[in-house]
Amino acid sequence: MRITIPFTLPTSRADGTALAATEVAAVDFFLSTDNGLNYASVGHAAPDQTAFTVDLTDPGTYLFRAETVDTQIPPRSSVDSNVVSFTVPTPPLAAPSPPVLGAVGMV
Amino acid sequence: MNLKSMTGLILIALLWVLPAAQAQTAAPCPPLSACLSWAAPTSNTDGSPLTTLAGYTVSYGQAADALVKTAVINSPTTLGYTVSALTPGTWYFTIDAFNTAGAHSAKSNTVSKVIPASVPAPPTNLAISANLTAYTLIKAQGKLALVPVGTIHAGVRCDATQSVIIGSTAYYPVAEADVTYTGTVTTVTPLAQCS
Repeated sequence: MRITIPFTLPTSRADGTALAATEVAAVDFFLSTDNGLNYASVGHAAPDQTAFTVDLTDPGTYLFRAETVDTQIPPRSSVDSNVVSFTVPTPPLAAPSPPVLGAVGMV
Repeated sequence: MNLKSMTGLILIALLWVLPAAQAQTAAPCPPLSACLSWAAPTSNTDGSPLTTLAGYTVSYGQAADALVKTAVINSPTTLGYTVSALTPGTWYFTIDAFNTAGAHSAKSNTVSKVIPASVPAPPTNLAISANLTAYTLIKAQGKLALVPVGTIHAGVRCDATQSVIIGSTAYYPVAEADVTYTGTVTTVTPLAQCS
């Protein structure tokens, strides 16, 4: 399943000064599969993109958050964005096969 | 008054560059600041001992040839100074010493420091949407097959065609409910949830 995570690129820095789009190197995305205890990098979006996409296959709850990374050397990252989550449901169980009757005995 | 001029200072470091053993106890230089340290001169330019040292003048600016800001340190024993409230960009620093008669030494070497810009703000308005594929279950050549018919926004439970959407997968009505399918389509569920 392809999940789309739209986001809004910031236009300022933490101190309130302006942040041009050309000063943004990427938006890094992080994924947690343990209800937010641990996050791991899952990819990044370019600053000219408005959304990040990721494919999920296994059932479970996925939490995502993002950080802005600027073009300074060394680059500096923002604090974490808001967290969004998505649950891939467990497929319903297939119906059981019918029982197989044996021969009916003759009395 | 025949003043003796002093030897030029040597600005030994821009930051608190200390040996590893000492670095653990040194306070870090605050953000938007440059922490200068230097070695005091001990003689005048004529070689005589310097006994009338009165202080230092730190000059700094955002171009090496335009050190337009100054800070005066009226203490000969002070060997460090923190220039604070610097704006992002490259800053250049130099220092001279002056004696009790007001005579200044030549400028020291020039050092520089890049003050990084603040961290960017985080991205906002993160949301989740899933381009879910809706299928209809059809019978073809004696078997049932799932045929994609479009996309459905995440979170929708039932759409106008009375399909059922459970989580991520849309299930459309099965026209021939009495057909038993034993192929690979295993995710079709009953449709009673959509009324």
